[in-house]
Amino acid sequence: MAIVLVSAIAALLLFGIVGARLVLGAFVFFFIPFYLILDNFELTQQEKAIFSIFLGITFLPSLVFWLGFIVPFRASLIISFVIFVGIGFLIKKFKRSGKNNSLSQ
Amino acid sequence: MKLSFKKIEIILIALLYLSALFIWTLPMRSTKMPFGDVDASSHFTIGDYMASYDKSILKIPYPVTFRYWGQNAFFPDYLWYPPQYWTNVAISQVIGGERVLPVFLLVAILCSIIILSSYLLIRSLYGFWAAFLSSFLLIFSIRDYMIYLFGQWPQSLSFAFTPLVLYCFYKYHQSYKENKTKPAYIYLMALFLSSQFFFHPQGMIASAGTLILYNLILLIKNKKIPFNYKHLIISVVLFAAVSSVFAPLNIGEFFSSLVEKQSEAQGSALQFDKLFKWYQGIKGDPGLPDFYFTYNESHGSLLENIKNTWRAWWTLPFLLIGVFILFYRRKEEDYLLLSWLVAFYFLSRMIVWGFGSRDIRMFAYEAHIFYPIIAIGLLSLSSLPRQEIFRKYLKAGLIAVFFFFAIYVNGVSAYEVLKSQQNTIYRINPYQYEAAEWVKNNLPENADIYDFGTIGFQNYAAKVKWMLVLSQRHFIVGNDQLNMTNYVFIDYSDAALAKNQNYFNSIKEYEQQQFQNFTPIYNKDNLIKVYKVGIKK
Repeated sequence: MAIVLVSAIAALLLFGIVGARLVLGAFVFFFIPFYLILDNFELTQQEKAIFSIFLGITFLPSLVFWLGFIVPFRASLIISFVIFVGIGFLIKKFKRSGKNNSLSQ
Repeated sequence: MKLSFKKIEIILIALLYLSALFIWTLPMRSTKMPFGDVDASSHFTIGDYMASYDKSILKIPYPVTFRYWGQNAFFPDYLWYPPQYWTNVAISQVIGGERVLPVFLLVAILCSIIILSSYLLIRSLYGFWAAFLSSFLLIFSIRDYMIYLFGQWPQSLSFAFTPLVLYCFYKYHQSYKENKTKPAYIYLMALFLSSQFFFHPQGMIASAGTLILYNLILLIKNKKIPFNYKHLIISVVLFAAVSSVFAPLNIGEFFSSLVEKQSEAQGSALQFDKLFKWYQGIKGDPGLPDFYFTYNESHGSLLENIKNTWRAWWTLPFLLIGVFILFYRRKEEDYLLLSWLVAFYFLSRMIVWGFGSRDIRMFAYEAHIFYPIIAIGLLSLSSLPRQEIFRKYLKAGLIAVFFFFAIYVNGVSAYEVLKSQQNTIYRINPYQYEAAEWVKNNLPENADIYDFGTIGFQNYAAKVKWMLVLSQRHFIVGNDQLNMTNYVFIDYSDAALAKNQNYFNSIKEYEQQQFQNFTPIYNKDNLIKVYKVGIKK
């Protein structure tokens, strides 16, 4: 988190509010949803961080693009974000309930 | 507060990547105007349409059809590449809240992101220093920042996935070998291969070539198939499903272009001599500058006072030592790098086998494989002394030498080249940007505009194409379209900024001949004017 803040401040100083918005926006939209998904798997911290960036720049636009034919583009960005965050939480819930079931048996 | 090595490492990687971005964003520091050759404007425009119309588009917009119609063989009216990169461009405009700067900031991030993926792979194979040094050198990789400046951005991003593909397979194979199979890695590998397909199939071919070679080596060495069939089949299905769901209109184009390019290349004579020359003796290639095919300039320095001295060759001995070490040691991680190198060798000279249409563009990822080997070569020297204490000092000394030359030779060159892009006449100037915005807001969507005066207008060069995409109107980009002209864009701004009187006078002469009795519908300080003409049939 500290790294993101430092990056956003650096972007703000070099490129103004547009730079800061891009850094923070990219972190929120590209990184966070995929980190939440990968956080459910046995991966190292470094793997989760780097894979999230690369999966984010691939699969967020993949969904945004196709949803953008049904709803306005900006709305499709928000909906896609919610869907991916939701997937992350669903996997977590599914895994937790699976664990609880196996414990109770 | 005591920091663990892990935390220090994370801070160091963050600093490394932020330094890279500091240098790579130099072209946007004093001006926010777009830059890049012909491809750059094409990769800007589709996303720009999506953000400005607030909807996704599948068909090529009218102004762009003149250049790209038919490039998607199966669906000629539709986008010629999968939409992912361009959608990212649109997303950057939305989250950045502006039209140009956020796109170029995102492009700088995506073009330099190889620094992170390479770090992950090399760190797991050879430890911290090999990874840190090679990623550090990648910041100044001429091959990489030139592609960023030229504009082949999706290709550059696609190659950045190769280290991840290799990493995932390597981790999968290690776990499989130890009977603690982690199939998640091979499934992630399939997703990363799909990503490569979305951004540019060349990256996918580079990864596939390396994987085939590596698996063959493992098969021969261990006399055992290096993967579980079930996992492989699932990953192939996953790759095919993801690729076809998210880019259904581009799958056919990929296969048809493979067949087409093969038959085109078959016409040319096989050139076996290219097997024996690393850079194949290429000179005067229409798409790539000559320095692209020299070691001292493409892995040393482009600066006049250094490029022809021994300093520009400083990495070569370490590269050769590194290659020797890999062949000599032959551990599984060494085989992985060797497979990558050998695949690169064959893929960059496919013409020898009659598949030569895109092979020299494979040189784009040369640094990705060379720089880790250079770091390995350099660090291996520290194991020469017998006493541990000498080894330690030698390692520290070698690392210091590496940093000195990387900064003094490669770094200074990168800084100067990227900084020089701030004030070049080949970038859109503020007058042109303002005029393009006016054209976008005031001329009809089916306007056909002839540009007279923007630098390179005689050949419909890159800046005319930038005017086309920024105005979202059809600027004439070929002699065959001249009779469509219904507006003329007279541009003195480049001639004035270049202070070139002859250039200025020739535009004036044209304007006086053609529009003496006309009134321009747009006139910005007598530097840019737009006239309406009525010669469209």
